[in-house]
Amino acid sequence: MSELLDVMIIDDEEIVCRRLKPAIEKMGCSVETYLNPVDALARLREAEFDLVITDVRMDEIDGIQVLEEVRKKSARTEVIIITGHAMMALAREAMQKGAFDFLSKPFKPNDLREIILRAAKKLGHELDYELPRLSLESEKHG
Amino acid sequence: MTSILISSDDRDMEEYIAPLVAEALGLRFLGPSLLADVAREAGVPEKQLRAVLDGTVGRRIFKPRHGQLLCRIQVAVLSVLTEDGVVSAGLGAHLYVRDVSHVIKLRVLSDASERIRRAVEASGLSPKKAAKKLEQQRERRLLWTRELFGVDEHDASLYDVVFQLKQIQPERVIEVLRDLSGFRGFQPMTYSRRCLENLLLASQVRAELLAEFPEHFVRADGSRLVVHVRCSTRQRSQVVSRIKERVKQMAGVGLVEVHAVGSSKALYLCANDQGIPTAV
Repeated sequence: MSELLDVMIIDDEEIVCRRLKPAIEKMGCSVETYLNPVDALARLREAEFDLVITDVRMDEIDGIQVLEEVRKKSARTEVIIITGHAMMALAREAMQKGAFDFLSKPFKPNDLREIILRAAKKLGHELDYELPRLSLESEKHG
Repeated sequence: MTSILISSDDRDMEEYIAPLVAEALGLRFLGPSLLADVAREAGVPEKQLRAVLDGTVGRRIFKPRHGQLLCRIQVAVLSVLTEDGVVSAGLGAHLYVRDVSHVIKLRVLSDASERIRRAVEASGLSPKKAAKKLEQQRERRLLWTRELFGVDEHDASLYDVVFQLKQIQPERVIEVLRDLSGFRGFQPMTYSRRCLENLLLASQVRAELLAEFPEHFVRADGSRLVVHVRCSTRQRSQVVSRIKERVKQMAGVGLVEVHAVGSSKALYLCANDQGIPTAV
């Protein structure tokens, strides 16, 4: 196991990948981003990741299918679902299919960081990172 | 940790089972004793809150004051439920905590003949009269929940699991709940916790506004609030500013959107259209 937590981000919105990558790298993670879930699944066949963070609504393959593929390939990899179209039925389905957590967009940066810290702990990685204390005002625009 | 809401057509039964479940599963029990705190804060007798929950407040079905008291109860209950790992009964939470996946909703159907027997013992009525009285209470309560929460509490689709106690012992109910609370679909997740926090913030805002604006609905999404309020066209800008001014001072509130509509019907239609719960 490498010291860094290997994280894959899959989201067809470039801005999401661009903003999440440095934020998660700061936590001591190695991050790869994919705009196309087909490319992401091809990469997942080659390499094992500790954590996959995926959007739900994407062309060709949706986030639930990504989750199912990851579950088939690796019992160890944790999957976090992020979506701007959250509904309780979808969230429950994702959890039943083995997602580690489900988060609706827009989210506060600390929400995702806190989930990553919990996932890392479950995987046996102790990330040397403390959640910043953000004011309500700064969180709103996070 | 999963939370569990227990309700029944027989209040004695729900208040008997819920503490047993809490103890067996190592969860916190939240029961009618909470009403004493709410009553103290609201400056009303505890039995008045009990009557508001049961729908036994008098002949008239609904008064704005009842809505305010129910809203206070909701705030108190939701404040505890957001902490996870709670078993609640006797506080009507099954009527206003909806669509939160990590809260298991259990409905317990009691043995009707046993209820009649107990009613006969307690009141000295004949079995026929006791049965009639229980049926009247049931119908009254049904009307009340429909009026205030827009739900029929006898509708099985409101619950994750329904038990008929004629067929199953309370001990077995505990075992089933223990299994269910381990299911992944009932585990807390960030989204379901957020949904519960949204319900709490919306009810806090309603508690703040109800006395001044009896007809309004609130939806919270994080720190963002959408308020629909009924008022006349002439008062519109004044009402919108007043609501924003009152609500923006509250903890956890960021952006506030206020929509003023001219009639009660339009208000309900707007709320339904926006997915805002049309409940007290």
